[in-house]
Amino acid sequence: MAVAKTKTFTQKLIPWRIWTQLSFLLVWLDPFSLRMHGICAPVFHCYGCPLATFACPIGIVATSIAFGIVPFLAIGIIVLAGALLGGIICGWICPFGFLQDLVAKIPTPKYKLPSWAGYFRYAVLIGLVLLIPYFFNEEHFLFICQVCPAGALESRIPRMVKASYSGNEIPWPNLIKSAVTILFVAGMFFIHRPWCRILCPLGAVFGLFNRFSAVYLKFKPSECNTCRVCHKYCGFEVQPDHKPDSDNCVRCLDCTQCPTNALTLGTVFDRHSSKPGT
Amino acid sequence: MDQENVINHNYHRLAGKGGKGRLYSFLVLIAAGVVMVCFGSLRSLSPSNSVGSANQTIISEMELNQEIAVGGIMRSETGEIEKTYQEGEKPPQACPT
Repeated sequence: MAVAKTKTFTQKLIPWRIWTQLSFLLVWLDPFSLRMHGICAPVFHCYGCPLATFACPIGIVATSIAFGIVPFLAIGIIVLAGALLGGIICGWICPFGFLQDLVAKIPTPKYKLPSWAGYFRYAVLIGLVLLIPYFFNEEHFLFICQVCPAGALESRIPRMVKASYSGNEIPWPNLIKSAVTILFVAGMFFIHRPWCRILCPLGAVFGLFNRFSAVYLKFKPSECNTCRVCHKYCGFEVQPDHKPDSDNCVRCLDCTQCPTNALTLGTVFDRHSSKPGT
Repeated sequence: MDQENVINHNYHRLAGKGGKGRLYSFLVLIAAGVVMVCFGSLRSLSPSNSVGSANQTIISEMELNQEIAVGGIMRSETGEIEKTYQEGEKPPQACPT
């Protein structure tokens, strides 16, 4: 079993993740006041935010369904982005994930989550994004935008501050939204990416796309010596050598620091060997 | 199952996902995404105007998204989608957040 001595291309990418997230943040924060809310960006960023270039796909999908309209454009953008990149969007592009990554750098005790916690995301997706808008409307207290902490942090709080300065009535959030936001903000200090791992409906969709995306995590069994170093590197309790296409993986690529280079980034256009162990 | 067999078993399971099956799934999804984006961009919707009575404005899905983001449309009691402001007026700048 040869132990790799040189860094692979994938390993060289890892330090660039924070800079990629920062660069995309500048795109999402509308530095040129373009307000292109007709188009959804495939990331979690509330269009109610005074600094939002594009619309939030989850907000558009849920609201359109509440109006009885199938949002083909928003779904098409999600499908295209998911098919190309899958969970890479969560790990490298999403501003809400970036916020949680930054807070996770604060040295507080971090607790692990069981892998089944990720299934709550599907409950949020099916219940709060699809069924409640369809059977009720956007005024329902469990409509996704009514509980979303991104909406609270990026839109509601700036509006509250603005209202308090201008002497207008302060638009307080409802009880559920306040509770979710407080739990989320507190949770960020003790759990790595709590929103992405427990509740994010967009993350649930991109997690599913991990099985089909053009860019994916490639595991080479012939290189693996089952040292399980990849398990230790993973902050999401994924076992990359057993489930490289796990729904919970955000493709941070930390596991690719594997000493034998058994895990790398692959694409659907790579040539595949026909025999195991080669 | 010994360790080598486990690795080989995993290889076969994963090779399918990284091989042609994955490529075909990707191509089907890309095609589906392109069709949905094109259809969504080209189709038109016609919300009625709650303020200006019977005037119906035909808008694209992109314009609909824009209106949703500023609270510019709502569902009426009759179930119709209505614009909440007149041409030339400022939109309410209110959304479900």
